[in-house]
Amino acid sequence: MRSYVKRALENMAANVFLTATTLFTIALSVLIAGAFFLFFENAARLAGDWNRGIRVMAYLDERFTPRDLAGVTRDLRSIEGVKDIRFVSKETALEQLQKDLESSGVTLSDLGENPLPHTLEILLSPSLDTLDAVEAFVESAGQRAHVKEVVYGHGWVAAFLPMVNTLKTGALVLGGLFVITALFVSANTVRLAFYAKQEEIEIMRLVGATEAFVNTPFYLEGIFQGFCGGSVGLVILFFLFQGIRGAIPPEASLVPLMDIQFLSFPMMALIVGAGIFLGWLGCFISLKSN
Amino acid sequence: MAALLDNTCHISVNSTYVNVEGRTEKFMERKRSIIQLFDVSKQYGAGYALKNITLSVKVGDLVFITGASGAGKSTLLNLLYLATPVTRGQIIVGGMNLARLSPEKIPYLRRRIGVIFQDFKLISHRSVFDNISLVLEAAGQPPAVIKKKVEEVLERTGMTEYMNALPPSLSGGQQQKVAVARAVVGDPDIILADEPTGSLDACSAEVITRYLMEYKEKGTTILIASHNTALINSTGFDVLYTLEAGQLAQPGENICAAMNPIMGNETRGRVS
Repeated sequence: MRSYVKRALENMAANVFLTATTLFTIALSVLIAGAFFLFFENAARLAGDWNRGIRVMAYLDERFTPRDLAGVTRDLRSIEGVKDIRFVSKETALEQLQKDLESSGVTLSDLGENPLPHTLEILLSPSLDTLDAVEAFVESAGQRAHVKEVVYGHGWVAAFLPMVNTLKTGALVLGGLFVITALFVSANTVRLAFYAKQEEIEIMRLVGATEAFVNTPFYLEGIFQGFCGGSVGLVILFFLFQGIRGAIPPEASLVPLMDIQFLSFPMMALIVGAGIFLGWLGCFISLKSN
Repeated sequence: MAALLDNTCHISVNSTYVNVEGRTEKFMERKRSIIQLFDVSKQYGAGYALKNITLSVKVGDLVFITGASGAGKSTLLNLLYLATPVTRGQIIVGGMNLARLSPEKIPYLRRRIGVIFQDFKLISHRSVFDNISLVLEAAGQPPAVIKKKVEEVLERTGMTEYMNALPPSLSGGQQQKVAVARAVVGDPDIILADEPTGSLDACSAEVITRYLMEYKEKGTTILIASHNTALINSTGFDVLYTLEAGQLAQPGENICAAMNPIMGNETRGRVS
């Protein structure tokens, strides 16, 4: 095995330009496909948040007292699609607000009377997965006793949902096309590089080398180039991602849609694995047609 | 050339020289055949490169295949190590019927044959040492043995100082020496040489010829395709076949046939 590795490394050293071209092609392919996966993962994550259930805030009127809580809760639970209800008293809400505003230096101590209402935080069931269903719930909840106003807190995200879903589908289709294109381009580049070695392969066979002896170093070379190309593509993608994320103002990252994250570890492993597969495939096709 | 045309040639079989007249057959029977061709033809498109060749080569023989360019000398050698498949007929090399040889077995056939290619076939980005050691690496020899054997053949061919050089930096003659070294490094049973001294000056050609003859003395069968009469003259031969347009020439059709007593379409002898 050591001699195979040695020959694979020697081959690459002897054909620096071809090796670099192959590596660059694989890196580029991985970069393009990886960018799509990055988008896809973030879109899927957002969709996942959405699917965990929408939170609706029901502000209660001034006549509400904690004694009414059980009745109001029961009433709201009778509406289909409620997963959970949490009561947030006006005092707790004020404390939370004070905490949130601390960083900006605003103080609420001069406020006097607490202007915030008692609130019921309603978590809807994921089965309410369309805008119409959510809106119907909000309308129904708004008509219940002591409920002054129902705020559909993620309403603006809901506006994005169809777009996110469309983009997700689009990303899958485009990503698939890019992956296929990347596959062909990379495999073809490896093949072209391989043709330069045809004479060497012929000579090896003529002097009594077995197919395993001839092929193994080329497979190792392809796998190594695939691994390096995949890794390089991923590193470039990471720096591009950092650049894009750096350009987003920190406050905006509080908005869920702007809170983009880099690829998960399994996805990174999958991408590097895809690079390795590309390198191997190029060799496989070339050796089979040789 | 004058010697070649001398009618008082002698036969050389196992270094025994006797007068040719009426005695050749007896010596031929003493050794078993290592190469046999039965009605072999090789066709490229509509034309025949070789047609109806039947011949046999005995163990340890030095065999010359002569003929004009395009007569089929190289094709004949190519068939013996399966560089190209035969179109018709049967070839047996070292007891292996090449028509029935599975692809997995071909490398094992080739390891028994050292080939000196006319165009050298050296890997340009590998050093002289690596080009030669490739044969032993492919045969799975340990590194220490490889080093010892390669250094030995490099020394014998006078190429030690070029062991780290790349083939393109060498002259044609030096490349040919590397090709010879590679052909013999695996101690093959058979050496096939296609114009082995074609690119060499007289002195280098002599070195290489002597070197090849040492292998013959060890019992290696050597087939040389050449139209170099000086080479034939200098080494002598056990058998000489002459090809004309892909067919073995009949007695009396060529100079070699004219120079020696004939057995069928082969000529046995040595220039005295």
